[in-house]
Amino acid sequence: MAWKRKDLLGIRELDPAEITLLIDTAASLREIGTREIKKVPTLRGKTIVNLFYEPSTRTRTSFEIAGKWLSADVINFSASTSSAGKGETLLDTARNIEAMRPDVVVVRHSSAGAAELLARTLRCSVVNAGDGAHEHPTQALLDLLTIRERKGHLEGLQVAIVGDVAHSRVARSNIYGMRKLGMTVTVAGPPTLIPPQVQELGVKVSHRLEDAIRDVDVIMMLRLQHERMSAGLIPSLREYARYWGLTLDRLRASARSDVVIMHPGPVNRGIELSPEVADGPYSVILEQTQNGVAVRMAALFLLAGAKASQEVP
Amino acid sequence: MKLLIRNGRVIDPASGTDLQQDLLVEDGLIARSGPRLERTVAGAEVLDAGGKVVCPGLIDMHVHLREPGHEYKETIETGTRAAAAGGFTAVCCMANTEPANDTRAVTDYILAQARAAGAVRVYPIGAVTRGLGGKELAELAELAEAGCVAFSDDGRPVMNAELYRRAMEYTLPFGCPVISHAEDTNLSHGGCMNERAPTSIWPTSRPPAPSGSCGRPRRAARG
Repeated sequence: MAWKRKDLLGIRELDPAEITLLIDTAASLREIGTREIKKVPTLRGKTIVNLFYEPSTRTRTSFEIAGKWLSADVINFSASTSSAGKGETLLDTARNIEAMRPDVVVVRHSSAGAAELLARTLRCSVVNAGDGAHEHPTQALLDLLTIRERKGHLEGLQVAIVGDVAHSRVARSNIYGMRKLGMTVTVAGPPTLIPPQVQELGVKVSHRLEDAIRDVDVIMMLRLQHERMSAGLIPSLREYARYWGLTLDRLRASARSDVVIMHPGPVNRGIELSPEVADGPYSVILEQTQNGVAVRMAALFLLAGAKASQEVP
Repeated sequence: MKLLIRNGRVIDPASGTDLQQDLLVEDGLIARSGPRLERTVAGAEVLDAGGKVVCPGLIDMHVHLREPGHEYKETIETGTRAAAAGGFTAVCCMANTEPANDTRAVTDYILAQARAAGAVRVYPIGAVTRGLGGKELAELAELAEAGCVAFSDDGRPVMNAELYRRAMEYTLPFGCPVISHAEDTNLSHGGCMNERAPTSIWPTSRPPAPSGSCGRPRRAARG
């Protein structure tokens, strides 16, 4: 099938074939990163703007590397160094950037819907690199790619997503993607960190880590933001780590021996993941980061390059 | 060892019993009940309960054992002995000790003292917020694991409604209720009488009457 959308805003609106196309494309593009000369001419002459209103290391870098390996010109705008700091609105900034004729704008913003707002306004393609607690589609795609590589398939797998699901765009995008591809999802955390009626997204809910991780193929641990404590959602990091931190003992006691541990990063060592687990044989955290570049190449390629050449380079 | 309790009004709500009869206790357990058991029972100590009620031990849901911190008022030993004397076999002790029962160490201490010196069963109630301060949640999961059966800041009600909501949500999986002392201290100001004519005569008494009505929506919030 061919990619038809102008933008990549979320997983929720994609159909399974589109998700699979993105993952397949990423899987075939990943090889570029292993070459001596890590560059193909596919997006030569194309301009990609990274418009980041929230701090980010791996996502922004990953989009930048992905664009450069495909020979696009990549420009980074970060809120702290751009006119946003002078009070310019998101739309004004975006319109001004569009006047410089980019082909793709990659946007991260703290407000849910920011990417969609840009997509409706701009003629160029928009990629959502995280909008509030709404969606982070390329993260879900790289997670799915990583799982498929490890397990050989996706359909029928059982996944536990553990932690601050309520504030997590990573969790939401993954829930949509996993459910569309026939996976079973359990979300787990204290009730204050689980969105009300989350079952309507087709997931099960657990309030006990040991129950949630039993017999699953994949455990996805989410990052706990420290401000959840001051908001009264959890009593302390200590108590959170004690009941929701994934330690080697807990893993061995309750999880399968071939379980895969994921984390979107950045990891709070000793809080949601003990160092032995984060660095241990179950962890695929660095594979996720590696696949992140491939998935972003796929997204940029399908949005900006596929019209010129349908062939994967 | 046998104990025959004679002639009492035996009441057991669980089985719907309310009868004038005797009760035979053997080795601490009720062996038989019925009228005139002394005709068939030999060698039992006899207790005459004529004019008295014989019933399962009462549970006091709300006591202050004051230990640790205020032993000059009460200790776990004296408080539980007073409970036993009144027919109570279990008490739930509030968290406003010094330090407050807001960490596992305090709960462990209370339970250890109760085992060592308690005359009745002691079920600690944990604090909702740290130091009963109303600002941050206490470590509620650990308190529940340590043996707290409920949570309450009692007479220092949590005035931050969002924090209170979070406490109720957070404790849902533990099966421990959050107990509300339904008073809005912003309205009551330490008042001690209803807002009627005398408050104009003694104007320092602020009105607690409207403050108490805040309990209803708070209970409803648990859903």
